[in-house]
Amino acid sequence: MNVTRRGFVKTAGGAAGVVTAFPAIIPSTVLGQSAPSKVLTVACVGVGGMGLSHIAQMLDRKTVRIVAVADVDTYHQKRAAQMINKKYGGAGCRTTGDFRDVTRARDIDLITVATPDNWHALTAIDAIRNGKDVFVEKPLTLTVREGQVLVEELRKHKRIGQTGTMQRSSEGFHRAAELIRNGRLGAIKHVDVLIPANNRYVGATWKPEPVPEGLDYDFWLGPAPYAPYTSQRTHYQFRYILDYAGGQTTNWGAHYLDIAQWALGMDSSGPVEVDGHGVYPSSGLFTAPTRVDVLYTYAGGVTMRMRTRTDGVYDGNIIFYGDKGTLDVSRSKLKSNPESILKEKIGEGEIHLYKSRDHFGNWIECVKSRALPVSDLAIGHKTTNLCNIGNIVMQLQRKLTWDPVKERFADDAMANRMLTRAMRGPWSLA
Amino acid sequence: MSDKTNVSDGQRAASDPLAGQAADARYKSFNETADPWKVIGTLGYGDDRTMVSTVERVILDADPSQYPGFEDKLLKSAADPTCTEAGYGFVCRLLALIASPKSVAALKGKLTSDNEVVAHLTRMAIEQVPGTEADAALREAAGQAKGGRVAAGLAGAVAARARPL
Repeated sequence: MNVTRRGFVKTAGGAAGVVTAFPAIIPSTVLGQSAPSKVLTVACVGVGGMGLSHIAQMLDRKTVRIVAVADVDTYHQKRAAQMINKKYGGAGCRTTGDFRDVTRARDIDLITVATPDNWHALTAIDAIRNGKDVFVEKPLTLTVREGQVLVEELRKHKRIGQTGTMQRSSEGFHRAAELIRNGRLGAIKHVDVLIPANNRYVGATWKPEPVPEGLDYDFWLGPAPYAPYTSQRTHYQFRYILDYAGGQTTNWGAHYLDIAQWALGMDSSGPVEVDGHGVYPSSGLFTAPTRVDVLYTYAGGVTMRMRTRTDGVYDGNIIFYGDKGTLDVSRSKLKSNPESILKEKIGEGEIHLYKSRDHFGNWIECVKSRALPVSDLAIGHKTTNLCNIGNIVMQLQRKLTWDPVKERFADDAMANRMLTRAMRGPWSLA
Repeated sequence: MSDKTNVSDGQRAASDPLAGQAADARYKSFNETADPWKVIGTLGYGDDRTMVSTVERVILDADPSQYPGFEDKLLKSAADPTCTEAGYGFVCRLLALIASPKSVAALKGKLTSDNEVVAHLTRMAIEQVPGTEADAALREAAGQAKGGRVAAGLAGAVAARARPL
């Protein structure tokens, strides 16, 4: 069922609507989110490929029930609702094209965000201000400023927010970070990060095309500058256009730089210097770099280089170099040199990092306990800063000094302007 | 001193996907075009933006002392009758990097343009200018706007700039 915003709110906003649609589900406004038996109601915003993955990861859980989806594409809405209704039975999943219908609905407890990147912060902030706990896909934000406001609002409204950097809930990455934090590699000198190849060249020109039926294209653009529709602009490929995303620097960098920050103990900080060099398409629709090469330097001298991999493997990879050995970790491997490092046990008195083996489950548990999740938005923000300042330095192609506390560059006015962007009305970070 | 900015930086050329001869050709084209700054203002949506990326590279690599001269060229392009909506967008994106109060004064009338696209593109440039001149222009425009998304965007910009960092 697709309804207008007014109709949706009318149905969903009051207690009568809730009882009619979901007689077994009582929202947290009645029981409180920490009630152990409480089934939390969820709305998923952005239900393309990643949003469907969110749905799939929640459908079998008895602690949550997905009651609504929001997407600017009615095809996506219907596909997601069918998936949800098939699992639960009936036709109870509500659909809307306007995320505010769910972020502001009183019968919804949790919001997941898997929109294009330029919508992450705005959607999450609206949800947080309306009392929702949020799961926000990575990269958390498009700009440093968005991240600052998002974290400030999260804390102000005392909400729980998980960043979609799910590698933190993976055993291999957790093990790698814990070994490094406990000095099994000795002092870390350098970190190498590889990320998959970026956009391909799609020609010097593009043609405006008719907007497909069912896509609210103006809403899709949202805060981004107006540009006519063309098919390669939307859906997965938005990642390669800097108005909406940051290319693979943010898409994959958000995962692997996150593990580096964790292992280096830099979750609340970051590098103090950044240098880089990107290869950018000089023409055509895509504007993200096709090759990335960024060098981060932390206080104390640890360096980290992120580059585009050229072997065709669609995964990242991270290698830590310490004075006692190396550790090489990706989604498919965990290797050390010497091999004995991996056999080491972490003793009781040593550092034990936050342990999660289920990223969504951890979020839901934290919603109930009100504890911080493994990828709290503040952590996600600091990681995303590395991605975003990496993109800035690659564009500028000059070494920059970064203050990870003030989150500003020193002595480079142009670089500092690139930390935020004007948003198309009515959207803003106010 | 020539009014023209020449590009012949071999290092920069090597960084371009059109490396080697093609990159050289790109910079040769820039150097041989009478007014590349005007050209970028005449582009349409979907046109080859090679000249834009070349001008952008010139600005990104420039010494800040060169910004006022570049700002003048961009404002001239924006004011040219041949400037298109898409071209104005390119100009405003570049101004966002270097614009001063001079751009605020020159462009603030377009903050409330009846063309919603132009109004927003103008704000993209002005909103990035630090200082009281831009604050005042945005506030004034927010008061004058006839409502809708342009007014909401202006009001949001005023509030967002006032929010402490």
